[in-house]
This record gives sequence, structure tokens and C-alpha cells, in this order.
Amino acid sequence: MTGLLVTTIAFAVIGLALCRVVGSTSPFLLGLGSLGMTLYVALLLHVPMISTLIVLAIAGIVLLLVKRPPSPRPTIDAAALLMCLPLALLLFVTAVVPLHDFDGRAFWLLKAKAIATEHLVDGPFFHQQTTYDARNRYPLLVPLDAAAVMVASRDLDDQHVRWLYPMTLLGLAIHARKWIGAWPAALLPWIPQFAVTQDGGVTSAYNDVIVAAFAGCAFLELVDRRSPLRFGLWLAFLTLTKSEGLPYAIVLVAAGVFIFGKRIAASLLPFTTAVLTLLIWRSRVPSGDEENFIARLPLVSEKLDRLMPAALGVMRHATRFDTWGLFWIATIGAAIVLLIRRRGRDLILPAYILSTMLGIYLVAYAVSYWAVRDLVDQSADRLLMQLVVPALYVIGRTQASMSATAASA
Amino acid sequence: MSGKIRMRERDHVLDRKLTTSVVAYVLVFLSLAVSTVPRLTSMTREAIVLRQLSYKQRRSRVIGPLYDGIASVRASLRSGEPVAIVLNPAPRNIGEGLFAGYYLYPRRTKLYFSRAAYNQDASPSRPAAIAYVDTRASAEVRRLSYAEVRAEEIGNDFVIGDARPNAESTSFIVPIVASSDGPAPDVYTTEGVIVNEAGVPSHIAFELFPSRRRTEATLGAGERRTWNDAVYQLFGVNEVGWMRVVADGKVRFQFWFVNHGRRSAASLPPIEHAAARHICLASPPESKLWIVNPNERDVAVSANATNRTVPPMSIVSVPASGETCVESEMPIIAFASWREKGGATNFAWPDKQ
Repeated sequence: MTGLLVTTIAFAVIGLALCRVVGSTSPFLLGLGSLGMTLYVALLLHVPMISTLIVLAIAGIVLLLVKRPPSPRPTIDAAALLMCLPLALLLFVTAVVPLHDFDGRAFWLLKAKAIATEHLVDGPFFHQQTTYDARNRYPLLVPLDAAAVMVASRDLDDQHVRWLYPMTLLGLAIHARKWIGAWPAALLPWIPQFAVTQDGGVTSAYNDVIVAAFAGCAFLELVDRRSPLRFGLWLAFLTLTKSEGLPYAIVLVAAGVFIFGKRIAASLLPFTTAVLTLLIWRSRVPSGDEENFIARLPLVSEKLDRLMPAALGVMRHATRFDTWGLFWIATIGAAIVLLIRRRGRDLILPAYILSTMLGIYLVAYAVSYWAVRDLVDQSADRLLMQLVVPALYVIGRTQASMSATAASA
Repeated sequence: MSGKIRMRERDHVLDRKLTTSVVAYVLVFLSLAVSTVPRLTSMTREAIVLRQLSYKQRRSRVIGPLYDGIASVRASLRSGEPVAIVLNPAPRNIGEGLFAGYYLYPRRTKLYFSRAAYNQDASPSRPAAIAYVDTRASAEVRRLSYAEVRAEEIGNDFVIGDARPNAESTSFIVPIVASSDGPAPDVYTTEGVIVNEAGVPSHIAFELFPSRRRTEATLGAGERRTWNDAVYQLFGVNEVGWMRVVADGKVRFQFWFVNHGRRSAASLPPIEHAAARHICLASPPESKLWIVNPNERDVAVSANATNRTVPPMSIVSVPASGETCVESEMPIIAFASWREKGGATNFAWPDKQ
């Protein structure tokens, strides 16, 4: 329970405080990202971890006291109840059933334990001196968040950090309600890939739910068009969460240039800070056995024959009923409806994001040294998770467009 | 009248659009729920059952023997003692190895993808304690010594498929015996067979030199006994040396020098005792000349005009090439060995020891 208290209170307090500065958004997700990023930068500068955590906590409380937040009344409707039902059960499950996934234990939470032990991001662990870290250069934002929870709980046991994942999904679903509609958002926690899959879902400690959340929030800032600063923060968090976060953030930045115009400059400060943090940190630690996709990019012309099997593989996964139900088919259907109803402009942004990111994933599959089928089978569902918010947006716009027609009539 | 009809038609169209939208939503929702609900229900049921257990018991239940094994390895280690995680087979079970590192953290661990990798690590950071991650049958983690890991991996596998004796005596010398590993894939063992064809049990004493270890065995009447790593199985050590075998009745026997990793074997000749003081051997370049001194005193030996003293009951080797002649003041055993291109070990024995 210590972990639950720390997770909910610490991230929410920091997030709520930051909301006073950057405007209203998901406090939990903002807290999760900003705490992780602050620790990343601080530890890279060798500022002690405990001092950073104390300063963050004090700053958060002071900001909350000085700048009283407006108290938004949460809307509890049928859609909210539908959304919360699986999340309540998932919170119970993660509280009781021990972690037994692969990546969470083998890579992500091992790093969290190391950071909580050494209070360093470039210490003996990251120089392979204390144990074997197979994916040594995976970004550290989530391990830093988890390490903060472990430090606050005074225990390295992973049971304390399990809450991060269902809470992230809850935060994303609540945040998405405003932009994609209450009912479409309620679908999110019911998607089997998020809810009940062993590898990648919220009962595991994979980071794809968190990538989906940060990428989704950045996408929704593009829809909102009001805060390039918040957009930049989400991009920064996305960059520091997983290796595919950086290309995803670049794709989003390109869209941001069109949407925000010159105001995009406000996004670049946090985003550039994150990119520099990642690059400097990676230059300080040796690589593990992770694949260097950038180095293999020049091979793409030789590997074109792998694109089609990769595309078919992704399609096979997107239409797998036990992990996605009709979700992706419904997304395509909704896009067609939008086109028929001449609401193509609602489709431009999500279509750009979805098609560009799918293209990037397919190129990565093509140049990888793994067998295409094996790699697709291991990762396609998790990569699709990262695209779920733009897809839900398409569904939401279609539903809104049909309801609006009915209402205006 | 026509206006009312038009309104009714429009309402009908709008109702249909709304209905289509609702039906589409319900369809998508049901397609998700139909997969999520049963699995979520089962996960919740599992959680309700697990809730009554301690967290450690839950891990044991959910993760299984792998976690229990890691927990028992952890309990067997001294505070702060580093541990090597040795995988078998590698790299199929790297996942289990990573999990072992995860649950043992913050204890320092070093991952070895095979026993050979551990054996060849000469760095000071090589931990003495081993957590052996064995997934050949099921995922298991056990605290073992290197010798135990080696024995485990050799198992009951014989390179000599049908070991048959080729000599008979009450006392004999096996001039070279080994239980040791070279660079992968070289795994040296001694395979042997002893048959007691008598109608009464035979008590046999085995002595390993130069370490002077001794053990005894009794072979029942008509019993045939085989070893695929005789030094370890008889004496519990990984050593290279020579062996004296003394029985209280005649036994039939044969021993082989085996490279288990390369599946090669060379029969070792039956030697009852050292008898020669002048031995000449021919061997290819980069061979080794082996001299066994089965006497309880130092023996001065001259090999190709180079003098040296061989300690009592010991075995020594010197480089040899071509024709090599050995002169000694007392009877000794001498032979040459070399590696064939495929890695198999070959021996040259004198006509008479």
C-alpha cells in the first residue's frame, strides 16, 4: 500500500502543481513525466537523487498552496462507470498478483532497482559492473519514476511500483474523454491488449502503456492547439520513455510546426532538453545488446522484400480478435465514414500520425536482423498500443459527427 | 401533409443514423469485452485466491520453481557474496538468467552464457558461487559448485558406447586420467570399465596421484561397472593425474582418455607396473612428452639430453617433437600426446613400458 500512496499522491501533487504553470491537463501523467524527466536531468548532472526528490515535493506543495487550483468537478456518468469497471479490477489484480512478465523484470524494473540502489544513472550498474543489463541504453524515465517510488517506499520490491501502469491507463482514459468523447474513451480500458495481455498490458511492467499515454497526450495537444509548451513537455516525456519515443516525437513535432507555427518554439525547449539528456546519457554508458536501428537504416534498400511480410504481420496482429477485437477495423470504418461525410480534415492529423508511425515501424522491421515474423509477433501489438489515441480520435470524431448531425436536425 | 411526411422521413433517417452509431459502438465494445471479460474474470479470481497468501508465497505460486530456486540460492549466499549465473543451455534460457539477476539484485551477479564461459573467465571479478540456471527439463535454479555443474552437464553420457574390457589383472596403472576442461569445447574425462568375472565380490582400491586421494569400491560377483568421468565419480575432484588400481582378485578392465566435448576417445594401454628406464617415442611437432614417476622418491630423468627431476608419484609433461628418448635412473612410464586437426587427442606409447 505504500507504493499506492506514493504513486497516487506524489505524481498527482507534482502534476497538479505543474498544471498551475502550464495549464490544465492530466495531473497524474504530467507528474509521472515531469518527475522522471527532472530526475533524469538532475542525475545526469550528478545532483543527489534524494535532494531532487525533496525539492520536487516541496516545490509541488508550495505551488499548490500558493496557486490554488480550480476544483474541477469530475463527471461521473454511465460512460465513466463503464470506463472505471475494468480499471478497478485491474488495480486489484496488480495489487495482489506478483509481476511475471518478461521485459518489465528483465529490463525496466531491473534498472529501477539499480537507480534506487546507486542513486546514479551512469554508475556501476550502467557500466555492467554489478549485473548484466541486456538493454543498457533503453531510456530511463519510467525506471526513474519507479526508482523514486522504491526510494520513498524504502524497498526495492517491484510490488510497490505496479500501480504506475493501471494508473497511467486511468489517467489517459480520463484525459482522453475531453477530446475524443466519453464513450469512445471508455473503450480504452476494455481493449484486451491494454487490459489483460501478459506482455505489454497494464498488469505487466512494459512501458508501452506509458508511451501510448505520452504520445496520446501530445497528439491531443495538437488537436487542442492551445499550448505548445505542454505539447513540448509530452514530447520530452515520450522521448525519454522508450527508444521509439524519439522518432514518434519527431513525427509529432513535424505536425506541431504546421499547427503551432512560430509558437512551436515553446515546445522545443523541453523537447531539446530531453533529446540532449538522452544523447549525453547514452554517450556515457556502454550499449547492451539492443539493436541499433539507425545504423542499419542504410540497409533499407536491400531489405525491401521484408516490408510486405512485415506489413502483413502487423495487419494480422491488428485484426487479432483476442487482442484487439474489432478496434482497428472500426478505426478504418470510422475513417471511411468521415471521408464519406466530407469530414476529411478531422482525419488529416490522425491519418498522418498513424501512417507515418506505421511506416517507421515497418522500416524498422525490414532492417532488423531478427526474422520478420518473430519480431512482428513479439512487438506489433505493443507498437499498435502506442497508436491507440489517434485511432480512438478517429472513432470519436465519427461518432461526434453523427451525433452532431442528429442534434442539429 | 407532405411537410409532415418529410419531417417524419427526416426523423426516421436521423434515428437510423443514431441507431447505426449506437449499434456500431456496441459492436466494437462487445468485440473487446468478449475477450477481456473472461480473462479479467479469471485474473480477478486468481487474485482473490492469492490474496490469502504472503507476497513471497504468491511469487512462488505464480512464477513457480524458478523463483523458489532463486530464493534458495539467495538464502545460501553470505551477505554481499557475489554470484555467477551460469546458463544451460545457452542462449535459449537467457530470460531465466535475466530473471535470476533481477531477483538477486542488488547482490552482484555475473551472467555466463555457458559453463565454458565461466571456466574461461580468468578475471578477478569471476564469482566463486554459482547459481546454475538449467532449463533442459523445466526452469530450475540451483546453487552448485563448478564440479557439480560439470558433472550435471556430462550426466550419463558416454562417448564409448559399449565399453568392453581388454585386459585382466589384480593391479594396474592408468597412466593418465583427467577430469578437466580446456578451451570450449574441450571437456576431458576418463571413461572406464571394470568387470569382476569371479564368483565372489572384489574389493578394489583406487588411488589418484599426485594428489594421493584414495577410494574403494566393491564389485559384486559378475558385476560390470562403468565410469564416464572416473576421476570425478571416484574421487569427487576435477584433476589431471594418473591412477593406481589394486583389487583383491583378478578383474577385467579398460580405460579411455576422452574429450567429451569433441566426442573423441583414445584407449589407454593396460600397464601393470613401470618397467622401463630407456624409452624412445616418435611424435609429431607440438606434442607433449608425459613422464609418470610411480616411485616414492625423486627420479632424475633425461629427455633428449635435457635433465630434470620428476617428483615422487607425479606426472609431468614437457614439449616434444619427432623422436624423443627418455633415460631415467628408476623405472618410469613415458608416453607422448598431441592434438589432431579435429581436436582429438592422440597418444604414442612405447612398445614396452
